[in-house]
Amino acid sequence: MVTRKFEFLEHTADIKFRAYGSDLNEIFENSAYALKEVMVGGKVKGKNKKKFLIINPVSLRIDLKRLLYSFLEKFLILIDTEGQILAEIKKIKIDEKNGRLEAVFLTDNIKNYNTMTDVKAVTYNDMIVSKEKKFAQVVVDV
Amino acid sequence: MEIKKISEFVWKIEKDKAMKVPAIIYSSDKLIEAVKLDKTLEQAKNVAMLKGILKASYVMPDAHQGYGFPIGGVAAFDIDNGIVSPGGVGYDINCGVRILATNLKLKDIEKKKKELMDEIYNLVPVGVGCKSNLRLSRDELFKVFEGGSEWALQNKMAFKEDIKNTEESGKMKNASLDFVSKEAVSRGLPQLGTLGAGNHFMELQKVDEIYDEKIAKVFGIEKGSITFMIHCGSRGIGHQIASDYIKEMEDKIGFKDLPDRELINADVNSELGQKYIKSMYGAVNYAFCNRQIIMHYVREAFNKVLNVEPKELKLIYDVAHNIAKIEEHLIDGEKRKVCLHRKGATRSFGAGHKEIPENYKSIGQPVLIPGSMGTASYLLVGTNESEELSFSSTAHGAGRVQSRTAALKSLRGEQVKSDLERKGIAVKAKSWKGLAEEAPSVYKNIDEVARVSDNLKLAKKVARLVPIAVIKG
Repeated sequence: MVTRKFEFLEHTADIKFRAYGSDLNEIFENSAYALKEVMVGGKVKGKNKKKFLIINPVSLRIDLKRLLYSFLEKFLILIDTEGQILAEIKKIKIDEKNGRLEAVFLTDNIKNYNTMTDVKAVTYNDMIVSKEKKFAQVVVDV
Repeated sequence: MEIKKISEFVWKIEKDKAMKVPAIIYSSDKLIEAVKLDKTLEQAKNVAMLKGILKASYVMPDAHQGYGFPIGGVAAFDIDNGIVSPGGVGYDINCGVRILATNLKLKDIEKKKKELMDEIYNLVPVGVGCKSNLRLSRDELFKVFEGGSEWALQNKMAFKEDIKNTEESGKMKNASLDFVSKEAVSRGLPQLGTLGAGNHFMELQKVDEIYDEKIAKVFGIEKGSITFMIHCGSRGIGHQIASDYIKEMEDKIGFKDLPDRELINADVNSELGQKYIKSMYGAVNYAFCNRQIIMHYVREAFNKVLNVEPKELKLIYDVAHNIAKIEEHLIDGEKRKVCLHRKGATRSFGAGHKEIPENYKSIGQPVLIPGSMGTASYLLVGTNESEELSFSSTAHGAGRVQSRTAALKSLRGEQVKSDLERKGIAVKAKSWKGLAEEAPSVYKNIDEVARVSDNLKLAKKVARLVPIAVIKG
């Protein structure tokens, strides 16, 4: 039974986490929460509504790692360009066959929170996305 | 994996069927144990399998596991038949260090130390999501990309001597913004002249020991001199360029023949390879300019608090430690142009090299190995011996030995701060957690890293610097 949403694992130089979920949508959602937790601890108020759509390129259509990489990267771009940090994911819909992901979520200005670590990038290092094992594992470059 | 000790500071992994060259590891009995524990050696071996690699896959004394390439990895590729790899540069393109010499001694600043650091903290934006004081248009960003530190000179944030004392004179030629995504551009616009967070820091230091009086004099320092160090990179635009090209290379070239997905690469001469190189060079220039602008703010703070003229704060040197570029090196007695990757490694050209500024030509290039926050740093000088040993490269820092999660279990930011303050080191940090994660005890022993470099002559020690105040994002 899945009880934890995510946990941080040992990594010498960077930050590694595992995010759990009963299906792919939930695994991705909890991965985004883990990423947020690296940068801002505690609760973030959901003030602004945002959405995005990600489509894998044809050559990597069914590549879930690529989909997760692109998904998490969107939140890093949002911080640098709009100063917005994730509060809550309202809707997430993954179409695995077509390599598509749609997400609707709430954010707030990062200025309102005590920030911790700057995540430079999402990486493929030791990345795992497993529907069967019901988790994703990600190392982020900090 | 069989790793053989060749001499006191050299280990080797012999070439096997998949490797095109051997892997050479510069280390010590103390340092090699940590290197063996993570994936550094496996990654060095993987690099040795890449197309067009020349001589060896080198590993510097501060190495630890990275993405695709190890951190502390140096590799040269043939420019006609070899590759360029975004993973071989790293996400933080031209992460690097610069150091300023002052005419001050500890007694001159002791009473105003806190005020000085407060002023620097006010002037330099630090922390996650911090925003620039400058309002940059796309056209201006274009100029930063092409001109690097020259942009700061044109905008009165640099002196001519600063440009000269920066690796590549603060500007890679052939840089371009034309092949940079709109996400990368929008990350770059609000961040010029910002420090960021993580392992980036600014530090007020004191010269604690001199190993070479003559060279130290040329660098403008003596025992007891106050110096100031700035460590940061190209911020979001560099990270996004790395990520964009990793993805584009995946789509167009694929990674199924690679031992590790993050070793994705393109031929140096291919269209995609060239697009990456030009964009990466632009990020290199952005980073040089970024450190230059931060230095300008630091000069303003010294002027305001201590009444020191900006010109009296002299840039000793600025070095990149995450970069790939076309350099000329000796291979089997022949001078060849190669695509040299230094990922977590510092260039260390020796005396007489054509790319060293006149003032240092007779002694060699200044090399900086910053410690972690709160520990010593080293100022070294490049050597001619390093050409044969490591394509003129040495270490770039201390290298972590303890994970952030372990650091957070055993350390609290407040405790780290009071420990540092007990040692006389003032600390200003945006985040307690960030402070605990970067505590001095989580890093390798910088003295040992410098000792290995010095003994092998990858770069020779000139001075040891100890911190007296630290600002962290």
